[in-house]
Amino acid sequence: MGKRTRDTSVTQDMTPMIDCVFLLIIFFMVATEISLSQADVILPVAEQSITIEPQPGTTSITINVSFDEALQERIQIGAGDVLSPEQLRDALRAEVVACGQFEPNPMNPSQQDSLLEVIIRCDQGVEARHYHEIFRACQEAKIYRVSLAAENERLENKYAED
Amino acid sequence: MARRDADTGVEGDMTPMIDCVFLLLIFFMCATKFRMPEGALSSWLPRDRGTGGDGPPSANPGCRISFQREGNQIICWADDVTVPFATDYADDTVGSSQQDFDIEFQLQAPDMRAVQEHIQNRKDTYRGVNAKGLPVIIDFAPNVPSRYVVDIVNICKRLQIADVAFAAPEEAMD
Repeated sequence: MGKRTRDTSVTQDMTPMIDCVFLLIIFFMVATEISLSQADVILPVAEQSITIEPQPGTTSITINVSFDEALQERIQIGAGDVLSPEQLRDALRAEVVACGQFEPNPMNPSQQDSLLEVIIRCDQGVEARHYHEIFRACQEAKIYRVSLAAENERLENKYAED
Repeated sequence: MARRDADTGVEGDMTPMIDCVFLLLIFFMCATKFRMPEGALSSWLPRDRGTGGDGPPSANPGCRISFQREGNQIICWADDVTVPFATDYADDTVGSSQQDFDIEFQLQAPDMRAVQEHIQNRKDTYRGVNAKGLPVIIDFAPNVPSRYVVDIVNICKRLQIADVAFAAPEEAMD
């Protein structure tokens, strides 16, 4: 496929450009999908936060606490249904069973604690009572590894964009 | 621009396709919102239910950071000391982020540098028996914005404090 100019008869091959454009489209399509799979949460900034990397032998789940369109606070596991504290407790118990990885409790070796890690992505504006609710649900499900998600760097003019 | 099939002599005009492809490209470029790199502050929950700490208070003199919210004021106590409200903010990413947040939510918030100074002083003078060093207990009312909790955990990480705990919420006695 080429484009021929009348005067000079030079052909321009458009194929590489179209290849690049298609690759760009695929990239942006995939990137858009990734950003939709997480709840829209404005995380606090904490320079001491470290990048979350999955550790071998452990599994993690993410709990999002965010505002919905009506500015009501909501708790979700991933991008799932909105959960009440009781439903969260039941869901975490189910996750612990599904994970199936345990370690002995150091204070009571006959008791098994889950190796599941919970990452709490809490919008910086929601009330901190949700931490209490999630901590309690985790403890009741024998989950003791928790992480509070935060951003490493500040996104300039975040509120101006919103 | 046209493409001619050598056998049939039929020309396929590529221009509409390229137009559509560019429109798609522009759409996805505008629709894509890249996320900032995310991190996490690792922590452990206590394996026993909080009942007020081990032993008498004098044997386990931890630093307690408490938050209450009254209207648009976030009141913070570092042990028994009331932390002054922030009038200016630290000239770093965390400080400017807090300034934006306080302005957005119209809050009068505590000066986190004063909190950090207090914890640093307590850490430097700690002579307790805890093997992990000064224990810090974060006690927050349910209606306090969650970012201040993360700020305190961040300060503790910055000061390399290993023993950070969250106070259990108060419950009504039966």
